[in-house]
Amino acid sequence: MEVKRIQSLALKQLKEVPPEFIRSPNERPENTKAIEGVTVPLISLSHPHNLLVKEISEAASEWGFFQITHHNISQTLIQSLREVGEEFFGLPQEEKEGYANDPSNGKFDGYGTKMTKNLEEKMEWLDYFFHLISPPSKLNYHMWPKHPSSYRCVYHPNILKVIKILH
Amino acid sequence: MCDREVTENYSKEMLRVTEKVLEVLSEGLGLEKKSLKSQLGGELIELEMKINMYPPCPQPDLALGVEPHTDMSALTLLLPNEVPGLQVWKDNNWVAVNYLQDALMVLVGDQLEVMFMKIWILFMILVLILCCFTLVIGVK
Repeated sequence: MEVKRIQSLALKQLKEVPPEFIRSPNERPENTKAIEGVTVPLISLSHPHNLLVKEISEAASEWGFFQITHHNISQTLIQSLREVGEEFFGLPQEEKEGYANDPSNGKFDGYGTKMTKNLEEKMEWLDYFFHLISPPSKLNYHMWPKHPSSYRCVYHPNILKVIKILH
Repeated sequence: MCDREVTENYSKEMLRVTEKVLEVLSEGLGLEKKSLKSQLGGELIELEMKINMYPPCPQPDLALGVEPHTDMSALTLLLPNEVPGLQVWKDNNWVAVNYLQDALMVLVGDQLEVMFMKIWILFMILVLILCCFTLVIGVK
């Protein structure tokens, strides 16, 4: 079955979204507006251990969400992630379809557009690329994009090992 | 084959941050620090990566990027971009998640949620339509 990709729909420069995307009034952005003056807890991982335990536990139980800073993930790496992601979605549609997943048959890894419908049969406006990144023993490498070539370097937990095997 | 600049690796980094958060959460629950990680599979803990792509939408006021939901994971780490749209449910209101360049958003998923709540409350999020994409890591 050919899956309608959101990215392809967007390229058609439609004036209106197809009806399967139109939400009931209670779900529409105008009726799910965020309140002013409240922010999600912001927690620095550099805080002293006891304070960190207290802050994160409180945020987890009261909110279920928090933002963390000082996680020591480099901005260079984060930038690389954004770039390989953008490059993948910038590939020709045909090439991306080579990685299409098939959730109805239990194949979740790969390129997808959510097909599971909710009670109102409404669709979400997004495409995604999904795969396991750990543990190494369970990885399904053939579903990882070959392009951009840096993709595997950025995501692979054991890239040096793989290079060794390949050579 | 690899860019020399990419000296670190995302998967390893995500595993490191995940382990740290799970340790702190374990201690907050009065458990031994490796407890939650070992319940989630220890060294075989599964990390999933999802890159979400939200193309431009002709009527963003009528559609949603992601409908209200809770995450099935134990923990989700989210790397948002500067385009607003992510909202979380708190005390019967939606709260917008402000983008901070150096911050990582952590969401407590269904598998851990029950341990933190005396009453079952859904940690719910939704995504208004964003341009470009976000990166999501789920820990199962």
